[in-house]
Amino acid sequence: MWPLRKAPATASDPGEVLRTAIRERVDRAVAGDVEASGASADEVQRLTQLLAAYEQTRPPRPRRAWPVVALVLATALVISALLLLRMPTTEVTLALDLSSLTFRIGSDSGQGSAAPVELLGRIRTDQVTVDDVATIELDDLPIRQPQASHFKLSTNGEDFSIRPLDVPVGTWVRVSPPDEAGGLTIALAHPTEALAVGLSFAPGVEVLASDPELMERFAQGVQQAVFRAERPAEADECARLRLRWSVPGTASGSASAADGANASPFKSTMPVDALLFIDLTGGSQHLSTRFSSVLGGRIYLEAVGGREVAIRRDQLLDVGLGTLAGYDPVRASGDPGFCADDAAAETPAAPARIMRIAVGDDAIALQATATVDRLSTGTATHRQNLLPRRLEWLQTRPELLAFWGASVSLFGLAYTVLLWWRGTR
Amino acid sequence: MKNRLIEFSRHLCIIACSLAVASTAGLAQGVCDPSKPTANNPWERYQQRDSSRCEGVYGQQPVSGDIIGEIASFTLGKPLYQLDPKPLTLEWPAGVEGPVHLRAVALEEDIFYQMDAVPPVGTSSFDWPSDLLVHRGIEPHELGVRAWVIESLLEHPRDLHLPLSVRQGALVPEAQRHWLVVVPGAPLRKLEVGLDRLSTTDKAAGEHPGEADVQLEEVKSYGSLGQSYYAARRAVQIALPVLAKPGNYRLRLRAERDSDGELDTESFWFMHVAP
Repeated sequence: MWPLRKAPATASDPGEVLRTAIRERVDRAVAGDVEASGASADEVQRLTQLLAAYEQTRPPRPRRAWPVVALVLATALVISALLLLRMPTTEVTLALDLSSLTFRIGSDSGQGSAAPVELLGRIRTDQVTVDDVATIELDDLPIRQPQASHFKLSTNGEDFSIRPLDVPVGTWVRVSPPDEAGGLTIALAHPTEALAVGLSFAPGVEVLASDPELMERFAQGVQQAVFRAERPAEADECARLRLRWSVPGTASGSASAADGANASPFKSTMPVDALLFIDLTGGSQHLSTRFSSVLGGRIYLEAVGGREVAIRRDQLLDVGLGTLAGYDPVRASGDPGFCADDAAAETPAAPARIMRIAVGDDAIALQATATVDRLSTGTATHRQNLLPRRLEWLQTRPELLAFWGASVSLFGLAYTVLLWWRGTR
Repeated sequence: MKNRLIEFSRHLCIIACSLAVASTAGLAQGVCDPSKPTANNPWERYQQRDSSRCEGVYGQQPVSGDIIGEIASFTLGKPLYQLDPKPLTLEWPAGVEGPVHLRAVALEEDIFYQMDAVPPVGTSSFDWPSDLLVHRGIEPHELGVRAWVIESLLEHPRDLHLPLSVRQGALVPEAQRHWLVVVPGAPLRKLEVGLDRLSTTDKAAGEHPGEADVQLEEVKSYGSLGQSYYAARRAVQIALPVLAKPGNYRLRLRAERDSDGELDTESFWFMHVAP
């Protein structure tokens, strides 16, 4: 009910009876009832005095409490809803130390035909192992049907380089920390596209190869070698390529703190559409045996003023980027590996971007930004949702609070002025 | 009543036009290079210009720090045009199979300009409106342009570049030599070029008689371009030797980084046709 509207008067209201009588007499005078006008004027004056006396002595109308109660209840309901409901998506910054990292290369534009993405910069090394190779090219010339699929190349102290590695959109990448010998391994898989890694040798470098034919060819002088992995035609399998290289003078300690980004072989700002912080026990076929690859770190909720959420060691973390659908728990070699069939499908623009990957002796430090619709820790039975609540979001919007505060103040002011204006009339 | 009818027709036209534009944009997404960041200026930003062409200025990208960098241009004769609104004509040999990809870039490091086009299959020329070149003032010596098809060479699909000439109306460039433009990714102390020809001979006998045997025949061994320093992101123009035999060629590039002597090699495949 609008408070400014007059309530209908009841017939027993003496004030209303007096007002009706006054109105009748005034109407008669206006209508030209000259005979009655003199008497009416006195009568109107008398009635008006009587009405004034009545208005002064009339007890105040009882206040109705229910609008206030309804207002309080509605406010409580809205606040409860804001407290219970969480934001549908939120932007997060991840700063995590991991025991292993798995991600899938995405596309900024979300188009299937996107250009390859730079994964690794040029790496200088003296030893490389490439597994799951299908074909080899030496200075653009293919070697016919290599006997083996695993190759190890090394030099006597002289360095050669792994050429900058570009991978197609949809490539799964798995990064493991250095092994005891200081070798860093990355595994690549793609459901449709071929994968290739190129090596570059300076003239005169003596290359030792695990394969005798390859060694003979290198002895004749090779400047560029390309190892390719094709998708097997007969099986519903992915093209896979595993690359391991020795890191000369691997720095000791963790990668988490202040490692120079320049030391990292990984390119910065890579678009990714899947980011997984889980691992499986080797050889297990049951996804329930998954465990967290998180060693510690923090998540910053950018939508609520960068609120920090600490993630402790082994805490299962789900950032809503990618699922276990593509997980191939047991491969022929016994190692787990990822390769989702949906990688080739047209996907939306990558919701996450890896800003930095640094590999230390015992941890992989990851910095990434992402827009996620799921953010939780724990298992399915004890899951804790970390998406910010709407009320929290509102609290961190001072401009929104200022807007509503000013709106309510102005409305109150305007209402008061209106009441005053009606009162004076 | 008549006015209402006109209003309704007008709204219907607007909706139909919007739908048509949206569907054309969807078709053209394959032509545009999705790696290009969006620039601010809506008129000149890198975007769909017509059904087969994307062109414009894009936002600044991080420069690749690799050694050889980018092969930005491969033309038969140097591009020749004037900065006036007359369209340019890009021409390549007729009879090429598969879609031809065209790409033009600005060689100046502070102009982030690119044009990508995929003309209809079977054509051998492309009319290229010059309005953006004129607007940006990109002179012929500041323009890199190349055309390629994807062809299986030595058992793998590779970019095979086509001899491309760039002319404007009656302005026709001399077409005797192939010109290559390399934009180094890092300062170089040495840049060398070698050339091989892909020759095909029939196997008369042996394991697979009748099959073609493909091999690389050296035309020119590595030779230095003569300079002792090449600045990063500064275009290097290379005139290739006049070629006698038509066929597919492999250009070998070898570069040495100035800071640490790190070596890099790159192969560039191109087609040569008899004039």
